[in-house]
Amino acid sequence: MIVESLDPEGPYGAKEAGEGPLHPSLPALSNAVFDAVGIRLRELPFTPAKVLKALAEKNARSTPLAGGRV
Amino acid sequence: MLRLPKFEVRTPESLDAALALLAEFGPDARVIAGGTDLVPNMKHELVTPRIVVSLARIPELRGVGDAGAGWLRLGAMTSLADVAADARVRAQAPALAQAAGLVAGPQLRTMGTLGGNVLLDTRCQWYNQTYFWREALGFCLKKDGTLCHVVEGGSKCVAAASNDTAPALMTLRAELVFVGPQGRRVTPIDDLWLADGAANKKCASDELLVEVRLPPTGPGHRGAYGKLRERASIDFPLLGVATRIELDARGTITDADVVLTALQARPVRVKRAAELLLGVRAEGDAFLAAARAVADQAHRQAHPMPNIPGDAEWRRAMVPVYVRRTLEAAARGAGPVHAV
Amino acid sequence: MAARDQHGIGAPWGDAAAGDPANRAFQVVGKPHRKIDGLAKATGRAQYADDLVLPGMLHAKTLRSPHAHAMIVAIDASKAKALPGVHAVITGADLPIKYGVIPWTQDEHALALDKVRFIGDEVAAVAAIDEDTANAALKLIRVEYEPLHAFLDPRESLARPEPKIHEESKTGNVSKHVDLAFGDVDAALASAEVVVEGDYVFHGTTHAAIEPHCAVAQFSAEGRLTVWSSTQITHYVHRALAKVLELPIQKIRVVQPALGGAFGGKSDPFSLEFCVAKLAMFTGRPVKMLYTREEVFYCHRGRHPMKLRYRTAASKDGKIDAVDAKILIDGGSYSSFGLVTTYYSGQLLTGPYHFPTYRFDSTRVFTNKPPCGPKRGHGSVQPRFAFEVQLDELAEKLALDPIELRRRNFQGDFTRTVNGQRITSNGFLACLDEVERASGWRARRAKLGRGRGLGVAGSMYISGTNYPVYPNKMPQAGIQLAVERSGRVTVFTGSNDIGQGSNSMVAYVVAEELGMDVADIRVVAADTDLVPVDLGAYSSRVTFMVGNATIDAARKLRTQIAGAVAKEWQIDAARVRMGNGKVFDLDSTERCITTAEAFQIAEARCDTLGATGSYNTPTLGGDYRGGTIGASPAYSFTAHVVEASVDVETGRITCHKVWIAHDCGRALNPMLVAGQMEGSAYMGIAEALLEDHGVNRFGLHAGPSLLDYRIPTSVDTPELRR
Repeated sequence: MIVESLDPEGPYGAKEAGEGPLHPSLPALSNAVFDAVGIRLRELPFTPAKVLKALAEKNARSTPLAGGRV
Repeated sequence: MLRLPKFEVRTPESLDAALALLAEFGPDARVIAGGTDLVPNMKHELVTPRIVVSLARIPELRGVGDAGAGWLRLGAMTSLADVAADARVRAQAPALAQAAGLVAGPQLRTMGTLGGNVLLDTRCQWYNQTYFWREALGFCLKKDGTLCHVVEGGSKCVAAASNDTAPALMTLRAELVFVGPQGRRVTPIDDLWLADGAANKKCASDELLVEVRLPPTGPGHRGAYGKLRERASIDFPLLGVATRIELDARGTITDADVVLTALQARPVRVKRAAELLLGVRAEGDAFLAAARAVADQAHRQAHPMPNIPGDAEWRRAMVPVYVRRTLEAAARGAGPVHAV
Repeated sequence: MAARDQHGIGAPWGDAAAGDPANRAFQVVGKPHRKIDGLAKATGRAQYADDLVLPGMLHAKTLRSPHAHAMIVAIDASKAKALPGVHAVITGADLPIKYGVIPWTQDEHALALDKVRFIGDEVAAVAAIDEDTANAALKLIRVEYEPLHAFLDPRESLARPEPKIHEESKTGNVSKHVDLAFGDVDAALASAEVVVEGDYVFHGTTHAAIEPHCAVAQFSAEGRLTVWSSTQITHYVHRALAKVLELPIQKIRVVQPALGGAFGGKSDPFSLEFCVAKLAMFTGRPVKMLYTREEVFYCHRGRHPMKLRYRTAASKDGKIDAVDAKILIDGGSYSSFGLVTTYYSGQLLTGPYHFPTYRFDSTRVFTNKPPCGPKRGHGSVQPRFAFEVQLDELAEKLALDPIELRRRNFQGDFTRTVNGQRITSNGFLACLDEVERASGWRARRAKLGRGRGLGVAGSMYISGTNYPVYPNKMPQAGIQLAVERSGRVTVFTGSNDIGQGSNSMVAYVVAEELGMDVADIRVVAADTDLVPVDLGAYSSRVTFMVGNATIDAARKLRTQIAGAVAKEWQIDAARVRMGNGKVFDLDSTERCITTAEAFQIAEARCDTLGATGSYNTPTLGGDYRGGTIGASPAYSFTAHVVEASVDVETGRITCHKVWIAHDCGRALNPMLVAGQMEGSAYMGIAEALLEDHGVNRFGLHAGPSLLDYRIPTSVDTPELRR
């Protein structure tokens, strides 16, 4: 979904497109995992071993986190 | 690009001519089938043969056929893609078809052969590297050195058996046909292995694996293969699980077998699998309980080491999960168990 | 800003002032076009550096250090030199002058002079009749090392000043420290209604461009040096070669052939460029060096590992009061772009949200690992990861919808950030709206059932920066146009097409301005003998800066041609229009000639036709040390929603879909913009799930191959919706 804000100083209003769209992928994935299973992945890369560890820690806590549903 | 060391290629057009070359050049010669294991290993200077003997022009080594009395013969040079796609293999030995279909990626399965996969060299993250890399840490005991970097002070190589087809063939009780200077020898695949990562197969350098034979299976045969790897293609197994279940007409298990690979130097059979599953109907809670018992047994037997990539503890934790899932897949007549 | 830099946003013949939102007046811009080199690449005809074969060419190889940190006691290359087929062996003593892409932190030698700083550091180079002979010669070079303590953990580098990895470091093993505060962060934290805090870790990743680095050098009888290199910044290589080789810069020519991907990994001057040059000068023969994939992993310059601590203070309605960051950056063994990285780690976080107060304290340290540098999203992907996760934690704590939280903190357009950066257009809210709608966010978030969920994040990035790597007042981008009476225009540009399509972009702009067919435009790029200076393909500067410079040149040409035709027809120049390869009278359209005929009229009436154009950034940035680093003439904005599921038994995450909305101002070629959006999201997810540029306990790269360094295959790639 290309959004065109027409920048007054860009060539015909153009701005950057080659690097910016990388940034949100990683945090959005972490945030999606929170929505899915209620764990916060704060350390990259999100290896299965780290996910299992976080799930085990979450299950060990008595009060379930908001947002998580497992 | 990494350079291939210099070598000479011979392309014999008969089995006898190939054997003669192996006899003539001894340890200076290596056999090339698909080359998907040998060529990278040559680039890494893990093997540096002077003569490479190609089996490409020996037609009788290729193809799937009837071996009589319900047995199937699979030529050692049959490509993994062909094994995976063959209707007879899929019907008679589903675990093998699934395993062959999960080796590496599509291009490599087209080149790679069943025989090559059975005889695949063991793998280790401290071994499958370039000469520069290995030299930088003083080599290792599998090649050019005396130290083991996996097990501190270890004196026995723990490089991992990494062939997907081997555990499937073990559950199928396959036989291997070798031809050498002393003629033909037929050996159950179970007897092929040694628990030594440096050389995990009883196979002489002047012998050729020419054929894999599969015994008949009945309508109650079920099999599946489970493969753990990081990507859905290309990667070697971090764990391989082959399962076999035999059912009687009422769906009750009469025999079972589970073999694991990529944990240690040789594929490992899970103990008491048949005993734990015997007499159980292959569905419902009773089956699940029995499958869990087999999974627990597998977990007790499995002690992955940091020999191949992937967190060793996670690989161990995955053993019972993959054993249970692969048994369930076999019972449903499904599989393979694999991400994507 | 100079008048020459202001071009407006409308089509050349459109009425921008009256507003033409659909831009019907554009003939080329805004429409999908093939890349001008697409067919050559798809059919294997494009010539990459390694395709270059010159008569008598030698092949060179590099000897690398097997130690992570060691003094070089002695090097004996006599046996290598004596090997038949070997033409020359060089060591650090042959190239003793330091270089580095940032003039203030030059700490690299083409070949190690007295010490090696990571496993893979370059020690010697051999030129021989072929690669096998060169490799054989490497094994004959004897190097005596005296190992030093190797730093593999950045926390140790911070804590332990000795032994110094670089003797010239002022503070132990610290490469750069930046501590900047804007407003009273402590007071805001103390009085805040809500504070969230947490530690985040970003591992290292590398670029994994398909083409390994390659360079070829030729030294002419007249003493002129030509280097063809797979670089993304020809101009900096040009300057570095002159410095290190002590040659007059006008005697050096640097050419970038077709390039197989870079992503920041070809921004530094690299050892091989100096080595092939020196070996060509020594032998009098052309010399080529092509890195193996393993060597590409060692020369690296990839994304810095960072340990980040963030505190965010907010009001109960979710308005941010303060953001406070403390960041430890693992730089690896050399400075590279590290000074900029350290600033970027803080300077680029101040949008698209309004921060009333902000502070960051970033320290880059040296370790004995492959040197880090710029990778796509330089310096800001790591803090952005940490902060956007922390925003989600804030939303959780306040029981606010994460998209709503982001909307409430939107900074607005035509504003200034807390650290003094000027924001112009800002389409971030529209990006949020798009991904919210497309993903079905409101109906689906928190409702997808066990193990499946949606997540959102936003970002901003620079369109180039007004910080030229070396201070100067000359344009950052220059363009020359040459006109041929056949109706062909050639664009001469110093910009580097690294696959992003910059050569195509300049062709579209000229075609738009002169009303020509793109096929009638030729582009000569990235050859320092032929083109005006451009600062190269980094910091997402090319479309913005080179695009503006191209418009500048093309408009001068258009004015000249239209004026000549107007005189010929004895009409007002405003009536002359150019489009579809024709030039016509707007008031009497039957009066119509071809572009070629117009060129001929202009050439007859004026002179040999040509034009130049340039772009320089306006004065930007905060009034403090480092305030110009990260100051960009315009910022892009992005929002993503990701749909993922988790297998709770295996821990495996499956990323199903990524919805990408990106504000790129105007898409000059929407097909190429879409490609960049897909490629970016692919790379981000790859870094999140698979890639890891780690070293083992010896400091040796854990798996320097594309088997062990896992990038997603097609079957591992999520559906990318854009």
